[in-house]
Parts: sequence; C-alpha cells; structure tokens
Amino acid sequence: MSSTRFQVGASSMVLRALKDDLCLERAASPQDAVALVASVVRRLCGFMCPCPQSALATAAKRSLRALPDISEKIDEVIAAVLEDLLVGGDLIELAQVALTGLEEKPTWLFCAPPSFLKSAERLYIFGIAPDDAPFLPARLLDRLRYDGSTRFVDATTNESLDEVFASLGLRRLVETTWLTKTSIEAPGAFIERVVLPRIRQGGLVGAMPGVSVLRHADSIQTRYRDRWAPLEAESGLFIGRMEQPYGAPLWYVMDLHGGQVERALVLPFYDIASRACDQAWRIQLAIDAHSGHPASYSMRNESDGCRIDSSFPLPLSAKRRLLYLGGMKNHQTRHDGSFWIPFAACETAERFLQTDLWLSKSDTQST
Amino acid sequence: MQALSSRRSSSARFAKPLAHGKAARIQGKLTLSADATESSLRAHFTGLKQAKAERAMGDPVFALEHCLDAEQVVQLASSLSSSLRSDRRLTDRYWVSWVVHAAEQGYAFNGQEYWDSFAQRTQGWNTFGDRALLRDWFARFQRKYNGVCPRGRWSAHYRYISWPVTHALLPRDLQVQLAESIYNARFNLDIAPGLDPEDLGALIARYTYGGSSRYEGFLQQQDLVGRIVRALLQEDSEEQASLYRPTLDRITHDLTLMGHAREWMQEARSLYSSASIRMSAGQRRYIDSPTDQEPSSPPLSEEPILLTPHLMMRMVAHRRWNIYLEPPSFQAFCARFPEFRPHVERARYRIEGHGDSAIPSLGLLKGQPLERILTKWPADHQVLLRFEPPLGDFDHFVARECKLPPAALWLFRFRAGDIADFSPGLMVRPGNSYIVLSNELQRLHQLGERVHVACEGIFGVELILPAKVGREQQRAVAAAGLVMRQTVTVTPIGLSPRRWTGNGEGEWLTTEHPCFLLEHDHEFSAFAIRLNNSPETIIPCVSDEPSYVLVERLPAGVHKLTIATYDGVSDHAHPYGRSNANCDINLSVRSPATWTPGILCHEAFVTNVSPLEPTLDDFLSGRLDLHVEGDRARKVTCSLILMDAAGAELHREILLKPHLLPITTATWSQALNKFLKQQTGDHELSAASSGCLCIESEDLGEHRIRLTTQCEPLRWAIRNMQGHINLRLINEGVESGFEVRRYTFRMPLIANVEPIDDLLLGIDITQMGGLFSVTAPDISQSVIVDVPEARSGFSALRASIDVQSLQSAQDPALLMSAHKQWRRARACNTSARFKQNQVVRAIHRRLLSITCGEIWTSLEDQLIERPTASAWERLDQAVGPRQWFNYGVSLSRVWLTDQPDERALEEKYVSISNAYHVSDQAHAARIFWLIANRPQDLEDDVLDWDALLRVSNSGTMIRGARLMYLCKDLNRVNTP
Repeated sequence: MSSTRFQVGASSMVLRALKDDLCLERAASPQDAVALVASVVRRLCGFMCPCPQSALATAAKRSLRALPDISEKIDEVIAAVLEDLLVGGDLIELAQVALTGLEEKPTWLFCAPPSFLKSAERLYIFGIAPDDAPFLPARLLDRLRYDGSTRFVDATTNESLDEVFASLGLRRLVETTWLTKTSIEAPGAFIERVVLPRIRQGGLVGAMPGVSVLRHADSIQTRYRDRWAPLEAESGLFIGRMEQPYGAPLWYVMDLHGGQVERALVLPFYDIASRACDQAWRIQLAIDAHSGHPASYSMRNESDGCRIDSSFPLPLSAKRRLLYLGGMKNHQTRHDGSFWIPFAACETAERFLQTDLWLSKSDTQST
Repeated sequence: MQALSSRRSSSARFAKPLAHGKAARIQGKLTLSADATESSLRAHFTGLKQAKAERAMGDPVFALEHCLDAEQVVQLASSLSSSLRSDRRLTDRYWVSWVVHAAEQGYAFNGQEYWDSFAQRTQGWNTFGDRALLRDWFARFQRKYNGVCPRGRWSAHYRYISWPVTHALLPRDLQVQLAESIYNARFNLDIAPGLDPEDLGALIARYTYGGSSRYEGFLQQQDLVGRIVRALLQEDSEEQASLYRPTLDRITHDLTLMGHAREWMQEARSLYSSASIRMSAGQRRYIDSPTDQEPSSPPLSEEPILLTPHLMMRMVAHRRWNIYLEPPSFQAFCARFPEFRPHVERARYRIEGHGDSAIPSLGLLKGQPLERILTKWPADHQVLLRFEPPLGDFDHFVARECKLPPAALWLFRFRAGDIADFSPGLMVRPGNSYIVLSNELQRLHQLGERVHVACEGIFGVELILPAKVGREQQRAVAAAGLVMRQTVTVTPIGLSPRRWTGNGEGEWLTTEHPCFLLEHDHEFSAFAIRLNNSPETIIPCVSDEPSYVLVERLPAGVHKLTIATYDGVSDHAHPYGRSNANCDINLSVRSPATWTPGILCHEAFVTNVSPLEPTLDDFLSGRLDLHVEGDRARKVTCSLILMDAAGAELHREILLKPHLLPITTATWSQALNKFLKQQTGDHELSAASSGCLCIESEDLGEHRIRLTTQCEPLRWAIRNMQGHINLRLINEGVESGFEVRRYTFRMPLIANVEPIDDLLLGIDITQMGGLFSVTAPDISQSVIVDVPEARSGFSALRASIDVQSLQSAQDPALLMSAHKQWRRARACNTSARFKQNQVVRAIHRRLLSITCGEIWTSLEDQLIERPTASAWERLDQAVGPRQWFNYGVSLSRVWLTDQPDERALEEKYVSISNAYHVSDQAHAARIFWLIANRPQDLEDDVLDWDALLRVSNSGTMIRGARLMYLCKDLNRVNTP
C-alpha cells in the first residue's frame, strides 16, 4: 500500500531505498553485499567519527539488521569491511589522541580526507567527507564504480582525471607515501633496533593477571588462533593481550622470565604510526623468523594470476601493499589472509613477504 | 524591444555585437568613430532598459551589458584617450562611452588597484582625468538607464571605484570564488527557484567559507549577487532573461577557462535545473521558505530544533557507571538560522556539571560532537550549555531546549551490555532493562540493585524487567512513579538518522529516505499513518510480523510523521474503532554538510591559533601563535601559501619541515622567526592579497588557517623599482581630510607631516626609513620602511634611537599611543622589523620607567644582561616596600613551582595581589598586568592615566607583574 509521501512494505523496500540513497544502484553489482555494507559504514563514519570501532560496528548492524541476505553473517561482514576500509585508507585508527577538552585518550577511528591514488588508468578514491557528502560532481559520481570496499574511476584515453580530482581539492596520494616503507633488515636486527630499546626504556614491571600470550611458532605449525594461551612458565619476548574494564583488550610486548613479567610495554609504540595489532604481528613475525620458525605463505595459480595465502595475520601496511599489487581485486577471492596477485607482480609480492615480513614459502603450493 | 535571450554560437561570445536595433547598423564595421560608438551605446542601453522593464523583475542595467565586441572595446579606449588629450578634459558628449570603458576596466580589476591600470589603458588620464566626474556619470547612467547602484560596506568605503566595479557585473577576480560558493550551496539549490534575489544572495553568502575581503564586500550586495547567480544557473535555459545574453555568455566563457570552476558550475546547474522542474511541477515545497510555507506548519520559533543534548551512561567497571553528555549538533540549527553561524564558530561553551573547561563551539558544527563526562548532576531547569560571550536570541534558543526535563526520576535504557541511553519520560516496557536515576535515594529502594554512579548529586539502581512482569515488581514500578505500558515501537532502520532521541525526534538528510521499523507487543487491527497534514492512511495489520514505513526524501525543515494504531470491528462507516496509541515523530531534515578542501573533517589533529582570525600582517609581524596537538607518532608540515586577489596560488614555502606532533608554541615561534629573518626582500609578500597557513599531516589531511588582508581605500604600496624602494600612497576613495605623518627610528615619538602629493606619485625611500602613517576618519594605515645602508654587520640593523628625546617624554598616554602605533604597523622587510622591535622595546621601557621607576628598569637591564641568582633576588626585593617583601617572593614562586602558561600566570597574579591586599580589584590588576607586559592589548581610550597612577600601590602592582613575566620570559630556575 502506498501514498504519495510514504510507503508501507517489506524489508526489500528498505533495501531498495538504501541502495538508492547510497547511489549504489548502478555503481555496484547487485550481488555485491560488501559494497553495500562498506557504503553504509562510510555513511555512518560521516557523522559518527571519531568514535570507537565497536560503536561503528554496532550502528552498522542496527542499520542493516532487517535486510535479507546479509543478516546471517552480518558481524563477520561488518568486521571485514571495517578492516578493508582501514587497509584501503578510508579510515585511520589513531591511538592515544588528545582531543580538545576530552579527558580520555582513546583509540578511535577517524575519517581520512577525500583523496585519490592513481594506478595506471585507474584512480582509487579514498576518504570520507562530513555527512559522507559526495565530494565529486555528479558527472564523475556516475563513473564511480564499487568493487567490494574499494571505489574507483577508470580514466579514458588522454583524460587527465588526476588533475581534475586535484583541482576539486582531493588530496593526491602517491604510491611511495601511501605504501608505508619499512627498512629491510634481519628479524634479529629488527628486534634489537625497534623492540628491545623501547621495552628496556619504557617497560613496566608488575603482575598482569589474566594476560594471554601468543605462543612462539614451532615445528608443529599451530594455527594462529590456537596459539593464544594463558601465561604459564614462558620465558623470552612475547606478545600478550589483557582485558581492560572498557574497550578492546590491550596489546602488550612482554619480556617474560619463568612466567613472570619482567617488563611489559603497551602497544602501539607511541612514536610509530601504526595500529597496536599491526605492531604486535610484525614483532611476532620477527620473533618466529629469528627462532627459525618463520610464518609461511603459499601460492596457488589461478587463471589470471595467483592467490597468496598467509599462515599468520599480516599487518595493515602489508595488506595494503598486496592489495595494491593485486589491483584491489582481492576481496572477491579473499578469506582471511588471502590475496590475489597478477602473474606479473608475483615476484614482487614474494620478495616483499620474504624481506619485509620474513615469511617463507610453504611447500604446499599447488597449481 | 531588445531581445535579452538571443543566443550566440561563437565561443568568443562577447566578440560579436548585437544583430538588431541601432547596433545592427554598425555591425561589421572594423572601426567606429567615437560619436558613432556613443550613439550606438545610448541606443543599446535605452533598449536594454526597456526590455528589462517589460520583464518587471526589477533587474537593473549594468554598463558591462554593452553591445561592443572585444576589438571595439580596444578601439573605444583608444578614441577616448585621444579625446582626453585633445580636449584636455572629459567631455560630456562621450559620457556613456566613458562609463562603459570604466566598467571594462572594472571587469579586469584584480582586487588590488584600479586607477593605475585604468591610467595605463587611458593615455592622459593621470593629467586630465577626473574621478569625481566619472562617478557622476555613473550616477547619471543609473538614473537614465535604471543602472545598478553600488551598495554595501565595501561600496561605501570605495566611493569611486565601487561604480565601475559593480557595473562590471562579475569581475574576473571574483568569478572562481563565486563558482565555489555556488558549488558549496549546491545541495540547497532545490529551494533557489522559489527565492527572491536577495534571499538567494544570502543563501550563497551562507555557503561561502573564506575568500578575499573584496569578495566579502561583493557578497554584501545580496540582491545583486542573487540576480547574477540565478542568471549563471539558468545559463542554458531560455528562461534566463535577467542579463543581456552576450554578456552572460562572455562571463560563462571566462568561467569555463578555469577547469574546476567549470566543473562546479556544471554540477550546480544540474541540481538547480532539476529543482526548477520540480518547483514548476508543484511536486515539492520547501516548508521553511517564508513565501511557501505550508499553512499548517507551526511558526518557526515554536518548532523543535533538536538542541536537546543526549545523555548516556557507560559501565566502566562492574556496577560502576559514568554519565556522559553528548552536546547537540548545531549543524541543522545553523542551516536554519545562518545568522548565528559566526557566533557558533567563534564562541566557547561550558557544560553544566562537566567542569570549568571552555570548549571551542566550532566542534558543534559537526555531525556528532564529542561526548563529555558529567561529574555533577545539573539542577532542574539548568541550561546545560553556557556559551561565551552571551548572545541574546541565540542563548534564548539554547535555553529553551538545551536542558534536562525536571523530574524525580530519569531513565536510561540499556542499548548494549555496558551502555544505556537517556529515555525521556517515565514509561518503561517489559523485556527492557534500565538504569533509573534519582536525587532521592529512597525512591529507588524497591526498584532494583544499586549501582555506583560517578556523578555528584545522583543515585542509581538497575531495573530489569522480564517479558512478563510479576505483580510485585509491577507494584514497585508504580510506587516509584514509573508507568509500564505495552506499545508499538518505532525505530529507524536503513540509513541511521544523524540523531535519534528515543523520544520520537530525529535528524535526517534531504538526500535520504527516512525508514522505520514498526514492532508491536500487543494485537490491534490497523496502523494509521499521516505525514504533516496529508490525509491519514489506514493500513490493516494482518500479522504479527514487523512492518516497515518508508518516507520519501523530504525537503529541509521539520516534518511530523504520526503513527497511530486502531482496534475494533470494521464496518463501512467506521472501518476501525477506538485508537489504541499514537506517536508523533519529528523529522528534522537538513541538507548534507558541504566538504571544503583544507578544512579538516574531523579532529584528527587539533590546531589552536591566536589571534583567532589572523591577518597576513599578524603573520609577517610575527604576532601569530600556533599550537598543533594530535597523534604523537605522526608528523606535520607547516607551509605558507600566498594567493593573489583571484585566489590563485602565488607562492608556497615550507615554514616547518615534517615535525612530530605536537607542535608547541615555542617550536612554531622558532620556525616563524627563522622564516621572517630569512626574508630579505619580502616586498613580494606584501603584494599578496591573502594567504593561508597549511598544516599538513600525512594521511590525516590538511588544515588551512586563513590569513586575511584588509584592503583599505587609503593604503600603502611598496615596490622595488630597479633597486630603489618606492613607497606610494594609494587613494581609491577618500576625498579629503587625511594626513600623512612620518616618524623616524631616531625620534620615534616626533611626527613630521609629509606632503601628500609626492606620496601619491611615489617617493624613493632609500634615505628615508621610519614609520609612515596615513590617517583619515575610520582609516589608519601605518607602514615601517627601511633600506639599510650598504654597511656590513649588525650596525645596519641598529635603530639608533635618540635616548635623550625618549627620556624627555613624560606622558604615559602619549607613550602608550606611540607603542601601539609602532607595534601595529606593518614592517616591510627584515631590517624594518628589527628596528620596529627596538623602537617598541624602547618605548615600553620608557613607559615602565615612568610607572615603575628608573631603579626598577635599571635592575631589569642588569638582569637581562646577566640573569644571576642575586640579580633575581634584587628584583624580588624591589617589587614593593618592605611590608610587601613576600608579595614579590610569592609571585616568583608561582613560576618556580608550576611554570604555568601566560594566561594562568596572569590569573595567579590577580589572585595573589588580592590575597596580599595589594589590589582588591581584579579589573585594576588585569590593567596593570597589561601595562607591564602586553600594552598593545589594552583597549584604546580606556585608560585614565591620572586616575590609574593615583591608585595606591600602582607601582608595586606593575613591578610585580613585570617580575612574574620576566620569570617566564627568561625561564628563571630554582637556585639552592
């Protein structure tokens, strides 16, 4: 039943309106639920940020709760989309930010400013404006395409779209700054240079009741999730997580001796601009590689490229690089830690995984 | 009659003359005699006046709407120059030609200077020209052809050039800026077809962020701006008839030469044309528009405006809760009452119960301002946000809605396990859990288990209601004064509203469909839904499944959606019986915010700048403080960007290379001073029309702080002409009553009156350093110039002030006035700045020697020379007479123990002075603080020096203030 100003109907009516409001009808394929969730999250970010990641996830779930098809795995999809938006650069996670007049210094998500990155003839669009207001004119918005959580415009021959975007005030990102550079060094050298001085200088002594530690890799090749265990009698450098009264558990790097905390330092390091989990994972990758049990990756050939799977979570900067090498095509084939790379870029990707993250190639590769 | 909407195909649109009327007879001729041009112009403007009059839309005629092509315009300049030289005056028989010629110059105006360029295009003008007569001819043009008349403050200020510039319609330097404003306002152009020109002009001004001072002046002519904007938006439409088509085509063509301006205009035109179609089809109305208001809408002032703050509780530990207040967003409010936007941008606010910290209210113009903890429960009827400074009408709006409803109980409904949202009213529903607050503990005893609430003056319990509530709990709930009801729950779904109070009030965008999910916990027969005053629609309720209501996109304003439930047996006359329940939902709808490049969307890093609206002069004189706070792992770069009058980038220079946050005031000050010292020839800097400081932080984006310049009709211009520095006085509107004085560095208090005529032509100042000041009613412009002699070393930078002359000055008012003049003047280069600082210090020292005594100033000199412990002790002892020895020591101790910032230091000074009874009046103490340390900040003409110096202890007070300031300035340290 309908009137001129409103309609009463089923949830499919709401879904149609949602796609219409987000300009998704033409820009994304009808089956692309990720694009829809990403657009809803972006819209929420436009007025909720800065805010905790959990607040965004809750609001997104509330917005999407009655919609068919996506409600079953909604928590999983929202979490993956939030990670994609962080990897892609639509969102930025900042820890210990002193906001005006606010007593606490929380770890919150912030919107990145509208920006673009040129990769061959494709221009990727990042960032979220207040209210998620469109920052492109309608002529360009019509050409905007969605592929999972990413948005892009393909330039036609002899078209200087990057100049047009720049003149509209979008920030031009260049590959060298968008992809975080890491210094190439041995895992032991990384621990010596980055971890030990900081833990010696700023690490605190004291009991950490209820802390979970990430056990070091060994020859059994335990899955990442199964390596988390309560503190027992470990000794050496460990990554740990501890619950706090409010918010997500904190990440720590800890120097343990017989199960006692000699020194512990909360992550992220105050002077390194990356997330706590990313720093923790890179440290763990270095610890495991240094002890002779590096994390591994496998490669499987597909029709138009190869798929790389990692046995260990990759830091955001690594995901971004693999996404970039893969032309942002990854979400379609991706489950956790899986990336598609075109044949031409496979060698670069492998070199990156081996030198920057000290991963070794698994023998289980298939063709 | 003139056909205003005749189209042209050529890209050089204005390059072809009219093809009708008298102008048609001259078409095709390569050269025209001055007489023929004059008569064709007169005929053209007569026809144009008549055509515009027939439209009866009140459109004025602009001199730029002439019928000449580009080549003929050049010829006109040439023939008028010949006429001027031969007649040795402006002749009346070409008066319309002169008006058109001047308007053409106005079209090319760069916002900086008019007459110089005009003289270059008009040979003989400097000798035989007559600005007053030209102005009279513009006035005659206005009378005879219904020409436009300049209005606004800028026009009043620039009485001569305002005529040709206004008649230039949209000079080139304003075109990009106007296109940007129109683009910013694009989401609001749906109402533009229904607005009169004045309101349309106001709408455009509202969506202007920054821009040159001249553009600000242009926007003050709202009627004119509205007409131009409408013509530009209707450019492709046959309806466009308010401007002479070839002139509009010419402006549009010039706009298309600027890439992004073309994009902006295309986008805005597209939105405007679709809105025009809707308006003409009568399908859409803007309920806030005064001319198109729905009769049923309540008066604007009575409508809710959603300024109610949101309260929420968060569990921080087991059974321990904090209360947070989330201030309302003022975005929608400022969209409806744009006159309050500047106040919100500048004011600060305090939150009742949050503490004394004053928070910049600029943050309230975001979608969701940051929440703040409440440590004390506000009193009934207490306004929760207190703005400073107060502003009558604004505060009235805030006071009306921005407060807690008086109640004995306040309910917070659980949203998640550790968050509860304030739920107005006393209604609770089965199956929900609440935190119930009261300031009377006994009211809560029966309701549930007590929780600890970290907020003074309030107690709380946790109330858990099962789906089926037992009788005992029902009695307890009723005894406490709560009401338990079965209801239909209406919650937003789909794109979340910007705000949802839980009390039926929410905020949506004009670009979104509000959607609701209707859930009910009891049976009934039908829903009845009504939007605003539309007829009620009855929808039978056929199952227990939830229903969805989708409202179409609504125009900006407040709308009411009423949802009721009906029960009973249906028959033909009364399909449904008694109404069970109904609820009203207030949908506050606004346009999306506009994204402006260079303005941080979110507070990823926070910049504090002082003064709040710095000028380019503040920057060049080193009077700009900056502090940037943010993620300490990120680096920021600070750059200076200088722009010309059209907003194009002239120059960009990095002031601070990538630097880890925070940028402290000291770091900034060091970088600024280094930059200013390196500027050996910054005459180019002074040529900039405006500028900005760009603070850029990797992925966080950039924040631009605008540096404005005030372009007065009487002002100084400095040029480097082949090694000779030329100083020139530019007069663009002041007829008489102004005077130029010069003060030398050697005798900075003694004025020499300078001949104005020489300065109007420009003088070589190679041998004439010092301060030049021109004053007229409401205008005072000072510049400090210096051309150091070709000597080596620092001697060239010494001001060589005549000490005897300074010592002879006994009048503190004179010294104060001179101090301000020298400090506020703009120094044109580094050596001038060096000497300016020396003069300012010397004058201040003399002022201190009068107010504090010579002994004190000598002790200060000794201390600055050698800051030893004994020098500090001598100063401590010299503050006051023996009975107040501890006063000086106490003042010093403030710095030695806490090292506070200057503001806190001043507060301490006032309180200590009061505690020691040196001064019982805080106001007087603040004045003494300023005299001692920041005389430039004292308001003009507020000081009665005789009375002030008669105040007992005035010397002690000023010495005390100096001591405190010196402790900070010289970073005094504790000594054993």
